Amino acid sequence: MRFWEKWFELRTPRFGVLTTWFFCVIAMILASLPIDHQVGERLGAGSVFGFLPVELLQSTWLYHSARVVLFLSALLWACYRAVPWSSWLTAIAFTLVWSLRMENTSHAAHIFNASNMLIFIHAMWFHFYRRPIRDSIRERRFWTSQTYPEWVFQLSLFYLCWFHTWAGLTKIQESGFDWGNGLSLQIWVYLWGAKQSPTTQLLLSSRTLTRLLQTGALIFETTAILGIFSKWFRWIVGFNLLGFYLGVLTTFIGYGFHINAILVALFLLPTRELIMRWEKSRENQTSRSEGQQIPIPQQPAQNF
Amino acid sequence: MEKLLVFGFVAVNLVSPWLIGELYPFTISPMFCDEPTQCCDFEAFAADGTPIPLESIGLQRNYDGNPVGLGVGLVPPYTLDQFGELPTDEEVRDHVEKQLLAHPEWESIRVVIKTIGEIDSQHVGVIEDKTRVVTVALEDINVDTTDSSLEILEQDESAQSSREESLLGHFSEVTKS
Repeated sequence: MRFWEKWFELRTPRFGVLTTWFFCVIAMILASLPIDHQVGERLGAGSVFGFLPVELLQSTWLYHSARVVLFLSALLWACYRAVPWSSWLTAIAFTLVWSLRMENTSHAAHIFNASNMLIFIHAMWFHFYRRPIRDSIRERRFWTSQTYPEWVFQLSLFYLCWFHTWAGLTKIQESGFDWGNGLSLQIWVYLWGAKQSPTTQLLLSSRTLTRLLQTGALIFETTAILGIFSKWFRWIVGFNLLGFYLGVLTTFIGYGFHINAILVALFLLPTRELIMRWEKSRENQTSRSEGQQIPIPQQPAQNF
Repeated sequence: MEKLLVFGFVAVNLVSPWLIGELYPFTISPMFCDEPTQCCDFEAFAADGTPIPLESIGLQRNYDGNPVGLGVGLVPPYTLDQFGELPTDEEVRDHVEKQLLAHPEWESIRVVIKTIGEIDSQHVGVIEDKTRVVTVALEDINVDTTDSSLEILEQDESAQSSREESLLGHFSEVTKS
């Protein structure tokens, strides 16, 4: 069997519903952020919506309308209403809201790129599987239905791994393999680290340690793409990236990488495997209590 | 159609760093990709010792870990500060003179330039013996009219824009190479 054929196998939707709800919450949080349009000379397109006329890009009316649409569509999607319109609207409004923010600022932030792409993947899922999902809900067998295609997980995993690999490649391209020399990280921590944070103190106390951590981050970021080929490597990369994010979040308190950290925990750590194991044990318990023969559990999808 | 979109997503994201680069939601993940070995920290004071907001005299730090001006729609506000580089006293003096002419409400501006970098093999911090002070008084500036100073300021801002364009060009080359 070719590896991509496994991408079109179907699973139970529990993990997908968990991640979809997470994205709906993120979308509603983004919709709730106050407007922060700066004034200044136009530099050029900062987003895929950069082709719009400047008047529209700077329009507060458009921004607020997009926020309202984003909030309502995410709410509808989370409740499985008006699908697939609500899921696509969420994806488009999410892109538009943050694009307008990037078009009206001179300071970039990379806190929503990964969420944005994964929302598109999940919108695709609800688009192509809306009928089986709707039927399974109507027949009250949604949680046991096979309505979650493996490609939703694999595409999300691919994007997250690729995102982190590029973070490593850009560092190597810009600064070379010596990027992890410890000095630059100590300077950043000195300037922006929370003074009272134990990790700030630790990083500033030893360049040997900082060099080790910075080099480790470069290695695990750059090799993250290998996580799509091996479950074990995915977990190793996931644990290390999560450690990296925890270090970043406890040092640079004001930096908003919380969502990326949660995405790494959801898709690169064995979160889905744990949910599937819990589902199986629940299924077995139900079978025993009904005195039925225990069915042979379906094997989880192997990584290609 | 389903397969087309699934493989299309993979294909687009595989080539986007080279073909699209930094254009939200596409990204080359450029956060903290540079390798500074030192930087400077400015403090500015009026003649009576009142701190002057750095943004008002173009000495603020635009850099926040992301390459300045990459993936955004607006030109970053003008500043002398180029993260990772240390301006000379003359560069600071020239810059402050122009700012002082544009802000005649201040009689003089005193700028303290602290250098942050390696203080020993294990630590970073302010390198005390590299701390400099540049003071410029309005009465010491030798110019004819305020208009000419504004012209100088405009030239300076255009130089800043060229530097930013050059940076963006560099990143564009990075993504294409």
